[in-house]
Amino acid sequence: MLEIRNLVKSYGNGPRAVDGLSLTVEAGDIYGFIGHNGAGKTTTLKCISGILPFEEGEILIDGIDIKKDPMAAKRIMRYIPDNPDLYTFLTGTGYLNFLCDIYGIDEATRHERIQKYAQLFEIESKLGDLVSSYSHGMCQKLALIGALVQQPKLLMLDEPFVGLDPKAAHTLKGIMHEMVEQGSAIFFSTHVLEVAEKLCNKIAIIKNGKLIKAGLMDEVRGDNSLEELFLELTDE
Amino acid sequence: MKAFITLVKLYLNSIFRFSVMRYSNDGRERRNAVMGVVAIVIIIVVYGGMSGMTSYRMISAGVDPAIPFLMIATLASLFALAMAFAQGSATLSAFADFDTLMGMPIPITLIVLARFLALYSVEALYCAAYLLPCGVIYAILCAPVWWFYPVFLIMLLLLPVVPVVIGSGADLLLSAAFAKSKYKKGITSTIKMILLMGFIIFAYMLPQLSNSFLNAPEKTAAITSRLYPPAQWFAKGATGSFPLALLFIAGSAALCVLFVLILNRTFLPLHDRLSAGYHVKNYKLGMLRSSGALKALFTIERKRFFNSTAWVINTIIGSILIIVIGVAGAALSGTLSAFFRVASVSGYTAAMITGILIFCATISPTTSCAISMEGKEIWIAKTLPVRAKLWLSAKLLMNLVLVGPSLLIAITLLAVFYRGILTAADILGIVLMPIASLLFTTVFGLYVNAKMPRLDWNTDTEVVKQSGSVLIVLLAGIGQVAISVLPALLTGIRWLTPAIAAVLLCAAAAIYLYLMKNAEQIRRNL
Repeated sequence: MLEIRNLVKSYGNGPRAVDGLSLTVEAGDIYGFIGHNGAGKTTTLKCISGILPFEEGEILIDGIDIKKDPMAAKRIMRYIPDNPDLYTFLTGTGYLNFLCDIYGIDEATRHERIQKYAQLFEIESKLGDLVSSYSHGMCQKLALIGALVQQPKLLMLDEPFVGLDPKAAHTLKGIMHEMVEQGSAIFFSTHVLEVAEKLCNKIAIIKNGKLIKAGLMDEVRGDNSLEELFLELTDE
Repeated sequence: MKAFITLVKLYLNSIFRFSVMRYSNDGRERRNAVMGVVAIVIIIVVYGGMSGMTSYRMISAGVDPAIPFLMIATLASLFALAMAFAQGSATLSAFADFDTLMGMPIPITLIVLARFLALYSVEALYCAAYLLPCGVIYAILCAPVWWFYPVFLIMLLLLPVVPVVIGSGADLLLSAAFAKSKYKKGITSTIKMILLMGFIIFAYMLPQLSNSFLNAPEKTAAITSRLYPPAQWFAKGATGSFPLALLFIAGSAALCVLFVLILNRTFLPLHDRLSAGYHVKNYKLGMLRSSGALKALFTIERKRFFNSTAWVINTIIGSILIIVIGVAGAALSGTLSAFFRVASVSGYTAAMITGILIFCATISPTTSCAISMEGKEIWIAKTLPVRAKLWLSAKLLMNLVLVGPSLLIAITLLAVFYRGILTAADILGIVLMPIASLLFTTVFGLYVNAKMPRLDWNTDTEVVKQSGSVLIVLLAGIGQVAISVLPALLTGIRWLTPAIAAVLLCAAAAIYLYLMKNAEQIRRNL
């Protein structure tokens, strides 16, 4: 579903933020992406989603090169940043309807999906309010609903659990499992290692822009906890 | 005190982007910041030049030197008042850093004062640009007493205080009054628009005032003084009346202190009120209407535009003026046509109509900041599966929809009602030139903004009023008026105007093709 080959990205004349990263996420994977602050997680996610250009390497989404055919690639994936700045001048419904227009979702389907996810995240009664009045957690929920109504093949999330209340976090985990069972893939960054350990079947650890460990959770972790492994690898 | 200086530096840095110029590793970002400052300098030079020439003309013609001071101080104060009214609330109550600052051991007074100074300093810069040349001309031609120099400089610094206090205070009251209304943006924008239209009509009358200053200076000065007494104190103080200079200085300083004290006491409740949004009770999700991608993108542009009071005021005034000019010109066509014939200036009619329409249509296109206005939400546009061409087209469409209909109505009315005193070439020029200018400005605005985007803003006024791309496009609009009207006027060859229109259309087409060809790259590089 997602194949990254030798990705290199720098900002201006600075050092490489991502340095030769290669990674494969398959359909059915919940793939965790962990690393210290400034390791290159967000940069990688932004390169995959087409937000940032990159100097070297290849990114394929379901076989589609993000550089060669960004439209086709973007049609099948969705990305949510860690601090989603949404259109504050729209209502929640207005924002979701806009996304549905762009993705060409028919009226009956969009109504059904928005209602389903809005109820799950308990935000339905707030959808008529302006986004500018939303709290951080509500913005996070709205951004998630916006992504979920598209039913993307690849969902990328940057720190998705930050700002969510425990119930919403639980709901999101359930939705993630449901999505991968239906053949989608999820690639997300997190600092909450306990969540990654329980939720992900695969994990990648990045340090200073370089991938230092990746693969099946059980194989990568071995006999250690993920926290012990992470500390050991990143302290080296 | 150290905290206060730090805050002032922080806010000024946010406006003028000194840190970006100095520390940014991104050459493009640094260049954009420098260009923003260069554009401000050019505007200051243009304003200063106009003010200096007017002062020289009047003082050397033997007019009382207080009169140019009075005229320019009134104009500068009205300009500062309009700007403070348009952006005062946004600057004083921009609460992006509210939580951070409130959590720090900094007295609220210092926070309020620092924000006021940030707002005031920009207006002070423009006021100095207006008044300093006038003071220099006066010093050279009239050799004033020694105390003129220090007193004039102090008064110059204090000139924007009263208009900034009145303008921003009124804006804060207006925003607070309608904070809980569902239509707060629409109501405040409309009220501001009406008041600013009044200001524009007054500013339009100033050239006539300038002529009457020359013919009957005392009488006209008396009328202007009644309109805005502090300008009279300023003018008299600068030209010899020490008591009036003291009155101006003391009055301005006292008003400033009073305003900061009031704001200090009301800052927290004001924050509460302004941050309270409108909430729908018992909302139920209904059926949602679908539309195509271009319409959806255009809707976003439209809603974003009407959500920004500063943007609306900056742009829509041109559109309203076009309609006013078209309708008023048609209604008064009999009188004006007769006047033009009698005064033997019918040859200038086409140039006047074309020049005025172009000025209004090109003064501030929405496109000159349409990309910058995406701000931190730019990630949405970058991740959507829509071609960047479509995304840019929605921005172009917004300006055309906003200005195009009013321009077409005005052109039709003026061309029909003045056809009796116009040649075929004149009519063709009146029809083609404003349309060509509108198309050119629309694409040129987007082109400049694509080259100089500013996405890291805190308040929309930083983009709409102070960004480099907006100022450059503003200057280009003034340039277009000159280029499109002067050649035909100077040579007497009336077919020159339609010919220039054709050239402008070609230039617009070239820029449009460039934008469409490079759309993906433009969006990717943001």
